[in-house]
Amino acid sequence: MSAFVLRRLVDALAAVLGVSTLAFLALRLSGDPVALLVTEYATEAEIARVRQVLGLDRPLWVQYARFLGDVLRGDFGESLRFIRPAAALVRETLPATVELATAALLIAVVVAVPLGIVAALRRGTLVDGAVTVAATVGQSMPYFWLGILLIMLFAVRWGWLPSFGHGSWRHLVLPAVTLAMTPMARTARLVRSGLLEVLSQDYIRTARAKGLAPPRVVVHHALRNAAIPVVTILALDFGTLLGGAVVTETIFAWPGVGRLIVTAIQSRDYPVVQAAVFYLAMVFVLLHLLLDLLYARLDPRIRYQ
Amino acid sequence: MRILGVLLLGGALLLALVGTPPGSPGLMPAYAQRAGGRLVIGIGSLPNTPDPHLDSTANALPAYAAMFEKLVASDGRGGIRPVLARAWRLVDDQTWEFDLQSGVRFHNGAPLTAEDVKFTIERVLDPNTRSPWLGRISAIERVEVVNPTRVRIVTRGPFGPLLQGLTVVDILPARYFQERGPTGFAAAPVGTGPFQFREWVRADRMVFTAYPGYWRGRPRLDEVVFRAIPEDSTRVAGLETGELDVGLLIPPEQVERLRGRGLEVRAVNLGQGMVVNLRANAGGPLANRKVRQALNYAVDKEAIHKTILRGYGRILAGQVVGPDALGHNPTLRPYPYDPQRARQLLAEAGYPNGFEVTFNGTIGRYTKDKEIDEFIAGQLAEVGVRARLEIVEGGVYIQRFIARQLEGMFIWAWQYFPAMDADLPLNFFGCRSVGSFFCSPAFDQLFPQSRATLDPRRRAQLLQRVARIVREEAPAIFLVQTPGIYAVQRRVRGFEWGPDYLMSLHRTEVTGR
Repeated sequence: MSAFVLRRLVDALAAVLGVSTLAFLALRLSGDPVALLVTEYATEAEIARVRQVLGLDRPLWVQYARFLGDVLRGDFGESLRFIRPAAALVRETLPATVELATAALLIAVVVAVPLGIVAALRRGTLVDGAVTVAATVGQSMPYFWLGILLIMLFAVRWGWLPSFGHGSWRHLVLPAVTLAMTPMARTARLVRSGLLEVLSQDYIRTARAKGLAPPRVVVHHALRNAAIPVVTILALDFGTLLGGAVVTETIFAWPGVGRLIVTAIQSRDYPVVQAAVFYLAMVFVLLHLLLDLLYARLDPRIRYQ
Repeated sequence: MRILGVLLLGGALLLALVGTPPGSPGLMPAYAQRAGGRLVIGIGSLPNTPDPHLDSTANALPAYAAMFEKLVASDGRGGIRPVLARAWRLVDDQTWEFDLQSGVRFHNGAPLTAEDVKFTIERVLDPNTRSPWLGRISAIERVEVVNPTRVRIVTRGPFGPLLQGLTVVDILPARYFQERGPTGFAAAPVGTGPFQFREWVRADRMVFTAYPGYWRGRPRLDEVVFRAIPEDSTRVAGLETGELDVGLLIPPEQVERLRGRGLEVRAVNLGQGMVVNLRANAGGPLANRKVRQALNYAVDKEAIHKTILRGYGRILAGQVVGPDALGHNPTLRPYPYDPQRARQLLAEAGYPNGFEVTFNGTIGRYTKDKEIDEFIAGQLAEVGVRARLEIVEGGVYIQRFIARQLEGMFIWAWQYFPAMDADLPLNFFGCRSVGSFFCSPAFDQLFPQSRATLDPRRRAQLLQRVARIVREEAPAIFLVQTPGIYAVQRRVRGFEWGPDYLMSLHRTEVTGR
């Protein structure tokens, strides 16, 4: 077990390093940040001077060696635009995004799991049809459209919730619901199909035959066995929510890491993009490690070599 | 006694029913009794940092202006008005002498002195500061303190647009800054402006409170909050719900909706001239002046102004600035819409069947830019010019411009606020300019002459002559001065947004909620 964890940690480190290297190269290929740091009215000499101050006049491999050395020391350099440590910027904005993604995931699970169960148990009925249609619609609704719609209804028309910003739980509701829609729909469908498969298994028939109460059969025997793909997708979704909340964050003026990354990319703020990619890759990889460990709890048949 | 009670109750009920008459303080809730209050402004983005020397984006200007001040500012009519500098004079053609206002104190209580001015300018000039404003004042060679209220700025050679350059340099307290260092200063910034810093939450809000010791009198507002709301529809929603008192850059199509909700919607013509630049220095059809003029005749500016911008903004009169800038030439007229003349000029230039050209466009960088791009491409097609529209992401756009990689035609809004001076955009039209796309010996002879001219009236005349050359040579399709549409709640008084992108926060108040 501990050998497994250790090996996975080494893998994780390699993955994070690989992702960071890719980010480093992709950024350098996509353009020069200096042009965006000076005003549009700078002279060639000033541009050259700024480039020199930033070390961007050095050969690429020198920049890369320096980057790697700094990363190993946990130093991502200073943001070119904010003139502050890039890692600190990411650490400041990451919590707001984690808050949003967690709330969205919770909403998704709380709504989707019961819906999926009902649809599976009432297979082929009107209820099942309604859940399936709702799930398809939910999954195909663009964040942008849904977000604006929710603002129009809940903030402008009824005045129940604020239309933008970050702060109290009331600010969290609309963006979290917006972000929850896709994982919610996907999870509901997955719970439904997973349960249907499990419900036809022999051990379910056995459980029923020995006279267990139907809720106990579903929750204890069926759901637990259908959980692995659901948990996998949820974990993947959480990763996607962290990096992919950009649109939702923009609509609701949510000060998260998604918006930080987008502005950093637009202004070619290398250190910030690199730090953000590093942190997100880290979260993603750790999440997967946790997931692997969770599998064993969910299904005792799984063993780690 | 009972009757009196009934009467009082009845009276109170009646008042509640008909509503509170405006301006009757006794019946208003306590927080509304005093003129002042709290103003919440919705704006697309916030400064990257509270340090005013490190962010030159347009949206950072009004936030910085709440707590910092410059030596001078534009008067909105092409002239310069005093701010922290009370008066100035030329000692010789390279030395400017400034007298500072007396009685100005920074928010920490320290008086403004010539040392602060010297420190500030030297900080912006230091490449290690990485100030994006460096280019505006790089003609300065040194700053000398004459006495605590008098300072001299020495330039390398005579430099006419010096004051315009100084309209972006916020004066910082030297001693306080040196004690705290850049990081400490950004955490607790101190200026001389009407409001003092209270809070800055990245990409979320920036909060200021009234500075009672402001040298021009305490502002009427108690608090000003800038909220960063990048999405237009959300800013509009925030105005409708009342969460915002002011919302900037409202899309033209949302104006009626907000008016229907009882908001006051106003528009200002921002100091920003939108054109399609034509790369005239790389051979091909665009190297021919007749072709460039033809493209100007082929585009219906009225239609862009009336239909796409719904009447907001102002058509540029064949030059890159509007009448609010120094160097605007009032005798110039826009190229009329005349497709017939366009075809004739193209034929004369040897392109009777038109030609193909790259058209670099943007989305969401300027008001309605995508619609304007597509409209222009359609209009050019009517005279036989096939413009291949390529949309480029904002960050890459400027890089490609500076690297001279924007080929053919490219849309551009020449920003000349807050200085309001034609010198800024025209500086790009020279043979050796950064991102140079045009080269004319007549221009290159006259424009440097204007920069070396110290008398503002004489400099304006030279810039007007330069503008005439630029109109004739047509290195751009001249379009419109872009609109700044903004909405204000009825409870807000005295708020104005200017062509220089700055706000009248000192005079603003919010009455009752």
